Amino acid sequence: MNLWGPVGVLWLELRRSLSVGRFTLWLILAVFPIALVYLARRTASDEVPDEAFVVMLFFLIARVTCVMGLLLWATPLISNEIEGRTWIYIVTRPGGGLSTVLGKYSVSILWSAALAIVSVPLAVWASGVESPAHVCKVLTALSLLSCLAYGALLTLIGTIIQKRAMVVAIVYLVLVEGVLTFVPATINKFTVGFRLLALLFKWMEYENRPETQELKILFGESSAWSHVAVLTIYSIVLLTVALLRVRAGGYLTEPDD
Amino acid sequence: MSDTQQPTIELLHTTRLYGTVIGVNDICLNFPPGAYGLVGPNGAGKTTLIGLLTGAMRPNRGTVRIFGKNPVGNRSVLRRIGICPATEILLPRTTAHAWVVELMMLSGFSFSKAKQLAERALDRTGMSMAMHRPIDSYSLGMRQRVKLAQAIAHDPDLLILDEPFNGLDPVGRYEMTQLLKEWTREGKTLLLASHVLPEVEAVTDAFLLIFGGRLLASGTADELRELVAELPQQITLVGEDVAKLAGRLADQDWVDSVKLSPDRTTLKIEARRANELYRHVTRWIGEENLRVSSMSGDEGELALLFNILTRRHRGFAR
Repeated sequence: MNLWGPVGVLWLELRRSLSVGRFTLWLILAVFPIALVYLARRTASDEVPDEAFVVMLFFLIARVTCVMGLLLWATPLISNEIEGRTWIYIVTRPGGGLSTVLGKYSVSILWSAALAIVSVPLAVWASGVESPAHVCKVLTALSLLSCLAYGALLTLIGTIIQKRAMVVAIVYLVLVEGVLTFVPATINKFTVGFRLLALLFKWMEYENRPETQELKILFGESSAWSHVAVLTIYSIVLLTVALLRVRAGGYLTEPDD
Repeated sequence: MSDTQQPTIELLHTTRLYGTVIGVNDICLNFPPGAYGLVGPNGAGKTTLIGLLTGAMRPNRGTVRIFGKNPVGNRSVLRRIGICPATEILLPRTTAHAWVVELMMLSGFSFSKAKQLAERALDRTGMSMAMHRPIDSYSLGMRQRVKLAQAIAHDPDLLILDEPFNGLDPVGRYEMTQLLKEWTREGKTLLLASHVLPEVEAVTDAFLLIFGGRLLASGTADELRELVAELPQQITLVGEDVAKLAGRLADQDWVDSVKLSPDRTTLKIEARRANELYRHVTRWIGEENLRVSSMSGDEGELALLFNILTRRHRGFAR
């Protein structure tokens, strides 16, 4: 395995990301959950429990902001190269396709993880919840897991679907990750959203509180570490399939001479 | 078999289809190290053939061997190939230096080595002064030089260039020609694809002619001209005395038709054997001191060659 290949892709993509447009986009995504939770806290009555704000922060950062960042970087990983007519230069390098997938996956995670690391403490402070340090720790860990798993999922979609990968990814995220996550049946266990929610529930120790005990029906009795293990395996499997897909090649590039 | 004896490129009944559209059709090739021109009009299948040679595409039928091995996903083969495709690169916010460094790292070099190789190659192609500028600010010729730099930076044994003269000014063309000549003198293999015969001829004397996905002919430029001369073609003579040739030509068994314009200054001849036509007409003009200002085929040399070879290939001509 050529270890320098993914590093080269990472280096180039990070250089390319240092533009006013990309930085503005990053800033908007980072500020978006902070502003929203701040407004919610100011308009909400004092009776709204902290748990509601924690769940809101979880959805805004781990499920929306991180996924938006990943969508922009991971999903078009092949189509961008094909549209930029640079794919031929990549696939004619030894292991070039695999290095590109790993490099771009790393960039997408770095970019989105950086978003979460900046957003989480500021948004937690803006929400005014109790035990902010613990909430920060939990939300940061969940955001990082979200980046790993959703990054692998969107990378796979980007390698399988050559045209309109972004549309397919959004439809998948809405239907499967958005809807199936909340269906109390075995099928929801195949979603990243379910695992992340279960972890939030465990790590915030909501299962021990009488008012949220009903959630046990939804999330079951599995330990937190089993959810982490499932998410890790899920990411590795999806990324491996993506690498195999790129290795198989056969992408349509352009009208041939 | 040692590396020097082994054919660099070997295709055996190779076919590549795009659905029902033929990219290349049943091509057989086998050639040792050297410089070769791959000549064909746009849409002939040159890029598809290059895609097969570089392992970017798999054949639907037949085999492709580069240095004796299948190039698809073969790291040891790909390390020895440099490719400069015809397509334009559209890389926003990327400098030539950064792009070539990245491609060298994709080839397996460390960051410092990749930088060194990229800078050397960009210098060799005359891009060292502008290499830290974004590629999208370059002229077509500059982008062509950058594409060549990334192809030669890792010092490959097989260099494949697809229309490398596109967009180059006369000085750039001369420099590119010199660079490619120098490359072939080093004993490496060069495959130069172009639709302009003289461009290829300036670099090499060995040609492969491709059209409609098929290999029509191969050989030196002289051999190909000889081939044209042996085949039927239409010739136009212009001059005050061309009418004097009409009668003589009409008597020859290798002439199909003779047509004199009403003003008797243009003579169109269709001959089955062009070499006979050229030989006799030039002799008669010389012997009788006839006033003939021009003698030309109705098409450009390459177009004519393809037209003739295609007709022969389809069975319309002998």
